[in-house]
Amino acid sequence: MVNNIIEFENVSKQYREKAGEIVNALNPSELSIQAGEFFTLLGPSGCGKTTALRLMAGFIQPTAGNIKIDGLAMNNVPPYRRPVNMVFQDYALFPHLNVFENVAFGLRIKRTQAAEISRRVNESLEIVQLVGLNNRRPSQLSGGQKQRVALARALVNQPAVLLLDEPLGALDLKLRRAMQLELKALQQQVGITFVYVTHDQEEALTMSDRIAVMSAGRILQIDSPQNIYERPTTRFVADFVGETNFLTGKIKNIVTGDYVKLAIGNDLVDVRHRTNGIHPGDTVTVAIRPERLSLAADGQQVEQISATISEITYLGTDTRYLVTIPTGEKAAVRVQNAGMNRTSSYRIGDQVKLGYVLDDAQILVS
Amino acid sequence: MIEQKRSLPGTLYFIVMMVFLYLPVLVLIVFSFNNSVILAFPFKGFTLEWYKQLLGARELLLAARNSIIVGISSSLVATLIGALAAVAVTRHHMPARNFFLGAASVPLVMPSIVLGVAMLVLFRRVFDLQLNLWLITAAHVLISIPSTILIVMARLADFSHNLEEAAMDLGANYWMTLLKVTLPISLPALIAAFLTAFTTSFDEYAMTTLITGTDTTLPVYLYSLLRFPRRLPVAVAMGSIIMVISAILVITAEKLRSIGTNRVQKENKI
Repeated sequence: MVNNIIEFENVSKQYREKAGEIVNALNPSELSIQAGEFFTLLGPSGCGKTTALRLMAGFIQPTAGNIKIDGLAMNNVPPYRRPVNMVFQDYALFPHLNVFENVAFGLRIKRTQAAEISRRVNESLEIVQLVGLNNRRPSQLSGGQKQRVALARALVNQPAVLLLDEPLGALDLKLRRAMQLELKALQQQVGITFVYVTHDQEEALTMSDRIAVMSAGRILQIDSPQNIYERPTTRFVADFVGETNFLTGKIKNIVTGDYVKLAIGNDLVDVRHRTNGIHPGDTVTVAIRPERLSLAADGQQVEQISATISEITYLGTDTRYLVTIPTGEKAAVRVQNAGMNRTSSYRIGDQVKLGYVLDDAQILVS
Repeated sequence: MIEQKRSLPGTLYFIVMMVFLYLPVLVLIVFSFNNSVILAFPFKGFTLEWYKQLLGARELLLAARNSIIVGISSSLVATLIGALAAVAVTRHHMPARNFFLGAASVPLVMPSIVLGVAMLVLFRRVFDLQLNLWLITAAHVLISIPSTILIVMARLADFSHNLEEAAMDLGANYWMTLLKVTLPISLPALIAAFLTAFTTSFDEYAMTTLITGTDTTLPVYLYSLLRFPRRLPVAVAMGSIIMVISAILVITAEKLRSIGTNRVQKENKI
């Protein structure tokens, strides 16, 4: 049996604006986060991801629905009685306390014995690799150091769940990359469930066990990073995570559980059948990643669509072709500049066949 | 930053302003050491006579003591009320927030002579109370509250509400958070508010004179001294002392305020 550490049962959050209009920050949502996993809430700003996190922390209460943490109902339980701790986007370190006292804050509130406070604070500062700065004030620390103090301050309380609100947002790219890997390693080391909020899709793909993609107060898809990238179910998810081509197709027939035959441009192609609620005759959108498309002469590929090359961009490792299919829709194709492909043999205006493998195309819902 | 050169008009302007602002103060201090009961040039000679007489002036010292007691107690109360009001305004959903702020600021713009008359009517005619130092203290609380609210509010608005959420997240309840996070971070502002309230109370004449009974405060007593020309230099000596103390208090309050602001600004820079 899977042990769910956080559960949202039909949880929603509405705000009443000054003008009296109601804003749905979170539409009724179901969510189960398993103990020990690195779970990411991914979406653009205003999608409701921070609202979901603040609901878990208890800073706000749901308008409807139930939140359970470790099997216990959390309705009206204040933040200071929840087994979760948060790492804030701006770190929220106490400016009047030094590093040691910042980390010790939670233990002092719980009236832990001085010797144990000292032991546990130093232990968690070691875990985040910040030793020897105990007497510094937050104003004397760099961004990366503040980040580590904020982590240590949360971890020292041994929470059941650690909530992280875009914790790397303020760091520069290089430090950010390093911290991503470090955070992931740290999570595996301490074995605490991490709930991570970010708008950065690369960050989400790198670190997460599972990702929930959110938009406009809704959870659109919850899945592994691989499936979020390879099998997006909606246009939003396909578009938000990585670059995607959207082609319009008309369904000819469906062989349930095997493949769907559809017309794209002047050609008949097959796509693996994974999407429910589609019928012959429907017009659907097919998503294919640029790097999963290939260019070839007629007859070399199984699934092929006629197209004309309209743009060629050399990108170093890759070459990016923009092609136009007979319906006027455009698609991007990325070809690695390696081995046989080293020199581009195509010219603008060439007629080619776009090819792909059955499993690499995905029919989207709506 | 734009590099600024000293310009002649600027320097002149500065000198004129300084003379305009501080000449009266300077004259007062100089005359407090003048060896003559008549406050006029030319100088008769240097003396500490007036300061010596001051030490023997029982009533004057009593008035000064009253002023200090009224000042400290009214400032403590005004700072407490102001701080709580500032927490309510900046940290809680408060109905009629703007109305409250406007209403609380009224004493700032109302002429204190009008307030004095109003209070005299209230104390004597409506409630028939004996005028005493408690009533003066209450009145001083009233006129100090606007500045204490505004000073503490500015500080609270300056630091992120996240800090209080972080404290709650780490297990502190509302009062613990107030005690361990909100108040310590606001401490410079609280002291600045207290000092501002104290100087407001200590200087107050127009309103206080109307509601003074047998126990009088220093400004009111000094004014009454003017009827006895021979004792005027003692009043001048007292005035000089107050001036110096007030200046020290105001400068300290301003320093504390800016220390607090700088600290917050540093925090916000990541």
